[in-house]
Amino acid sequence: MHSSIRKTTPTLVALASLALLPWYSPVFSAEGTAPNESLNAIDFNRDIRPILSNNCYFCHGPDKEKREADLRLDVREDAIEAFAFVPGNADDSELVFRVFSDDPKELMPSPKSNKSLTEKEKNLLKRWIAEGAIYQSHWAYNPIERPESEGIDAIVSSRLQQNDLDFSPQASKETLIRRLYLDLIGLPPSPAEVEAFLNDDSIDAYDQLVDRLLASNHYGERMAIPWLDAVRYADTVGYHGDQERDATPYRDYVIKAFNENKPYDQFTIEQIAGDLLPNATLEQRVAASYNRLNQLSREGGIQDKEYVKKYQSERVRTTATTWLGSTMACAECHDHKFDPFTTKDFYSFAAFFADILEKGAYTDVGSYQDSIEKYLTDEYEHEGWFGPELTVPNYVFHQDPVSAREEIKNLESQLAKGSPEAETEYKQWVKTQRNLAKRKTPTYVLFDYTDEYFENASAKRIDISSYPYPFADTAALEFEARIVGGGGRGSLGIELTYEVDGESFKKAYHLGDNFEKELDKKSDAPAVQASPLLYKGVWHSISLAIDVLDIPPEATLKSLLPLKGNAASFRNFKLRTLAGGTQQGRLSDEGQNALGKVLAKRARKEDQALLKTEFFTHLSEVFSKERATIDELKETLYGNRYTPLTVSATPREVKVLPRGNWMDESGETVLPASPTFLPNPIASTEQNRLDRLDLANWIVDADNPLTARAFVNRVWALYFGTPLSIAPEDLGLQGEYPPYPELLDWLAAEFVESGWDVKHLVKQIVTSRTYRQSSDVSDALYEIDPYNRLLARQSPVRLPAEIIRDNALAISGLLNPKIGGFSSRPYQPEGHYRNLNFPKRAYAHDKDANQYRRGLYTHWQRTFLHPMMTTFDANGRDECVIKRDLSNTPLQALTLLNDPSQVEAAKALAERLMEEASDAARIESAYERALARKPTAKEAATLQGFLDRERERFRNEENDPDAFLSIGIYDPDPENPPIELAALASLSRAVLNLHETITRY
Amino acid sequence: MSQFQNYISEINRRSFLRKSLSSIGVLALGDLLSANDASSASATGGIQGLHHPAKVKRIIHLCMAGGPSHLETFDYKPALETHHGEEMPESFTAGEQIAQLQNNALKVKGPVYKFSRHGKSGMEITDRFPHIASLADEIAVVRSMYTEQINHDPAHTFMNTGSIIPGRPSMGAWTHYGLGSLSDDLPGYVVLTSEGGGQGQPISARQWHNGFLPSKHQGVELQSKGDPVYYVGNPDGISRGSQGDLVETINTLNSELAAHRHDPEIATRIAQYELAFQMQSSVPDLADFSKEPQHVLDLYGCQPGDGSYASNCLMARRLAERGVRFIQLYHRGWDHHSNLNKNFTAVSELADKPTAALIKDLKMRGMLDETLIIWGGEFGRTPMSQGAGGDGRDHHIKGFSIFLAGGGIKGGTVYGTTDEFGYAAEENPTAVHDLHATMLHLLGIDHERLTYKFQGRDFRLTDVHGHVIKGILS
Repeated sequence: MHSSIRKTTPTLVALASLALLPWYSPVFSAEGTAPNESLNAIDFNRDIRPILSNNCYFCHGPDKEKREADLRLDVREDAIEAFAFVPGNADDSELVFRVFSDDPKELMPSPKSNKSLTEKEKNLLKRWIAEGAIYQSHWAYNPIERPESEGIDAIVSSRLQQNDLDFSPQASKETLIRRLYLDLIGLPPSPAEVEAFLNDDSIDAYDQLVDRLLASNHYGERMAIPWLDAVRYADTVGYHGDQERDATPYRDYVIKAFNENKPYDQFTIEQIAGDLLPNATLEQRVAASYNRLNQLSREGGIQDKEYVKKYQSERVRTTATTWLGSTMACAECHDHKFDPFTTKDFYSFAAFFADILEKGAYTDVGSYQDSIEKYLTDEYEHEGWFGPELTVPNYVFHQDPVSAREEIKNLESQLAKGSPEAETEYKQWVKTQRNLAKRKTPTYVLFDYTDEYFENASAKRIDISSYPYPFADTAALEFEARIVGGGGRGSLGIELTYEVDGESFKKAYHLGDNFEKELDKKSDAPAVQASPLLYKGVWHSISLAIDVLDIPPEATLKSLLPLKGNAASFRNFKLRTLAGGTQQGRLSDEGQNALGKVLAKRARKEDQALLKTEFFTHLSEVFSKERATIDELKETLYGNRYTPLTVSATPREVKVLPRGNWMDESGETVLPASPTFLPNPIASTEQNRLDRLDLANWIVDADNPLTARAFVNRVWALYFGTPLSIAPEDLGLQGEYPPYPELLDWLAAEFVESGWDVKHLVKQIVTSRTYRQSSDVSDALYEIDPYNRLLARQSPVRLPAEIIRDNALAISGLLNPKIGGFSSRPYQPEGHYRNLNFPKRAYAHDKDANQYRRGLYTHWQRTFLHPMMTTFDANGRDECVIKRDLSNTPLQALTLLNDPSQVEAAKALAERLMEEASDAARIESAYERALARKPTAKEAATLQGFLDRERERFRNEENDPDAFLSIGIYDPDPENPPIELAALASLSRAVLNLHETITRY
Repeated sequence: MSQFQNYISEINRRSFLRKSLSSIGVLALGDLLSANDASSASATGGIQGLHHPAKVKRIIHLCMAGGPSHLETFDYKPALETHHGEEMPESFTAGEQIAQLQNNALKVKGPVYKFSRHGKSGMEITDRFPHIASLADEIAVVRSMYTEQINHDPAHTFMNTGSIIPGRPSMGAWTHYGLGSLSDDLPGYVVLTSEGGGQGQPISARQWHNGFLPSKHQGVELQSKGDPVYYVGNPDGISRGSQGDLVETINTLNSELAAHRHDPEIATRIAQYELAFQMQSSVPDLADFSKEPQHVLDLYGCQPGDGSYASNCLMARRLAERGVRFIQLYHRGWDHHSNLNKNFTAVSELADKPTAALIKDLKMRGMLDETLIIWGGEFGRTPMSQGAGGDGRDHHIKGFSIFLAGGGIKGGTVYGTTDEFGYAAEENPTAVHDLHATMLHLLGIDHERLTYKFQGRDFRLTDVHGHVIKGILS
């Protein structure tokens, strides 16, 4: 089990290559190597360095601590000086003697190292020395050179010719449109879109389609997925209790940046140093959340300093891997074994981030390096459970705030006009107000209560029996509350005790999403879910209307008990009367004023109009439904989310830690500096300390050979399944010399020269002939190039986890295309979070349109990611991941077969198929929706047979259509005959499970 | 014959799928073993190993999550009794890491429970473990373990992966990578959790993650409630025959695709659907304790389906019988900062009998010799007291105890010591890497040669460390 036929391990690939190919690259890789090509001239980067690096540098490389016999082979002069070899004279060279030796005492690599050279490798070394032992500097550290042949196709074509190969034919138009949709926006084309494309014979139909998709706002969502993997974006903190903390605005920033085609250099600068930009915008400050997306801990008993160091190293790992494709992490404890990174480089790099205001331990023992009060300067900034947070109003990342504002205005002006019913209500209301005024009823009756400073103490009951007004005069119970913590949504509640005819009753009201089970234990009264989301760490004003409280009008109120859940504070309990308002709300000051005049009969016409308008718009009960719609719209603009705030404070001292040991204080203190061996190095002086902005600018310096190469290498993988250099996390000496170095360089050069234009880069790739080839492969070509490193065809690519979900939702028509916002919670097996604690967690799946949001919005619980995501090779994002290993397992089959999200999608698809007139048309429609093609006769016959058998099973009660159709919250039209619908849902399950459905060809 | 039986026999008859693959059995093997058949030990009659003949086929790791006190289990320290309540000598604690006792007075705490001598070797074991003690001649206690991480989450990570950096493969994943599973229709690496006996520390799925190894090597958590494996149950209203027909339909269509496309992933997909369908019966069968006789249930002390550690131990035996390679049981109940007496009493009650039952049961079935059992936590506990009335102990990393039993283990061994206060490993200090090296050694794997290239480096479970603990081997 859990095995795939695709033997993807290094050992197997090595064996296979040896057996099949006359020559193979000694750099093993997960996806396999490029096939043999003519070996006329030895190329050090391609042929020799991998042998030396893989077998020799560990003991004879850059790390001076581990260097044996004072010999280093990575520097030619040093190697010659140490008599390792005599250029041009292989027979007199110690190296040749050693590698060919039969004596285990002399043999190199030493048998103890568990390394050995093949005959091929030995002979290559010999020939190389005989030919003069020419070194080249490492390809990825050389300047990017724009090759002479221009463009992807020219480069690929000339290489194919050298190998007596040619491009594969162009894929069919059906294949191309589905490929482009899935690759560029991560969604399938609709049958109508396919048809339009098939019928469009214009020369630029393909280019136009590309432009249209690049302009789609779903493009940013597709591009965000690998980026979020790289920057380890998640909804929880990861370590230990894995509590929630909101960072969704950052995710929306990434989507928006790709959609707006923000130049990659700007994108980089904003994430690493957005907060340091002059007059940083809110958006740029959100981007800087990047620095604080790392795992955090509030485990009891952790040592502050240790965790500061953990965060420090993690930032180096993530930044170096994401932007430079470098394994600088290896230099944490010792100089890098293979690349010229020193330990000092590692800590100097870390020092760039030393200004970030943070704690190591987000517990009582943790402390900031400086007083946080000094730095929280505006209304958008506050301190949460996990350090400084930024309040981000939703309009910042709203797709179309102008239209939303316009719509709100229109809807409100509709309400302002009133209606006959509203007029009646208004008259009645004015009468009520007059009576209340006569009785001198105040708007509020306050109850003295605050436990603001005792969040963890048990709550005290508060006596409200002194409230003197009848129910008929009462509008709402109001208070303010705050849930301890920061980041994430929480829950709290109140318990109300009241009496009817001398008998005492209790009722509890739960507010927020009750994800944390503690609340359930706090009251034995029946609980009612009474309000929307509550964000932790900030004060919320809560109003529970009398209708929501839902207690008998003859009841007398006795007492209130705050229910603190895991810990919350309460203050300012009050009961609001109807004076100056309704259950819906309370008049503004202006409205109050106008009401006063009306009641005193001193009102002018304008006062009358103002009061009426406000009443209709904000208070009338008859418009409560319309008002709920408006409130929802307002939430999308004026509601808040939160994101980790990067504050630049007094930098912490950064020392080189001997062997990475955080308790060892003996190392030298370092200041921010870039690695010294890369071009245009930058370094702080005592007078001039560099900061993250300097680092970001250095990273995107046009002369930096790694930044553009690392990015285009990964972008290529989005469109061919495999990067050009196979290990995107390591462009260093132990990485792979790419089979197409000139293609990688052309793309990198083009990318930088275009002004780091990402859409331009993508367009270059997807409009190329190379991209448009068929992914079908002949046996002969497969034999020559099983891993498609020569690009004489396209490669089939299995969809990423998120897009497998999106695809099913889109095919079925259930997809909610909303972009951005809070994370969503799809169905998830019960008990998936049972191993979590502090607090214990229960998971409630979304019961509204959020259920059908795209996979990238799935709540990302680092320690227990949604099983569908894990099964399809997404991961918890504890650390930077820039390549997902794709597996093919029985758990994937079980998920597609039985996950309620998939079954529900089948049900919804079935309903769409019901509209077709015949089974043939239904089967055809299912294929067109899922695969953008018509079924073959054989396929149609297979499905027809299955459909008939399923009809029979639902008819003869072997299957239960009602139980089957009740999976998921989506209710199909009851007009549909259940047996028919259920049988078509079975058919749809088959289609959604096809290998082709989850693969783009 | 019912329609369902018809269907099943048809599935069994059909062989085109299997012919299209080498065989499901090969699929189940690890990446390395299948490639290294030539060097295997099968010809010599031992258990097939990757580098040398193996002593055991599988590992059962009984992880006592939270960190059991060595001073209340396997490491009796009379000096703590003598000095109970006194200041802990600074010579022990100066410059050392401290967890929750940071900024607290450090007072010596004597052992809470009595110890007695057991077995031929006379090893001292707490009176709270009468059942385990009765197996003293079967087990080898290591009293000189030490680790590097003083908090639960990173200490588990270190115990599982040999690294404190998240994202490295766990030992179960390494084992599966090297040897694969012996089961055709169950995951090769299975994890179960239970709680009870004090505050349950969270445990993360990263503890059984594949890290940079291919994701097919990650552990699969079996659920004690609902579907034992996620999504293993048919959708409501769908009969097994219907589901089988669906799987066959999908596979027929996938075969159709495979006939026209040179894409080896399709053949794999077809095999995985077959396997998934088999799992839909093998997993419920695995979880069905109804055929376990009463005396076996009594031996473990469990009720079927109660989700207890005892149930999980019985499940571990059932998994072992079915060829699962690496089985990990986490019992989340050993973190006793306060109320140690009450909670330790409770958790030892939950853990002692089933642990012993598992060893006995395997022995009765002749399986103990081919199984390695490891019992222990992610660290130990301080010789110093903590909490109200001093009724607790803090996390401790410089010395703690574990025990091993099964194939290749010299029963009745006590290996290594801590100092007289039970603070630091003194004789034969044993690193987590050493434990890993020993585990792999018993599986027939040379820990220095089980490597995977990532980020340009050949990574190992033991990093650049690790020595086989020869003193506990038979």
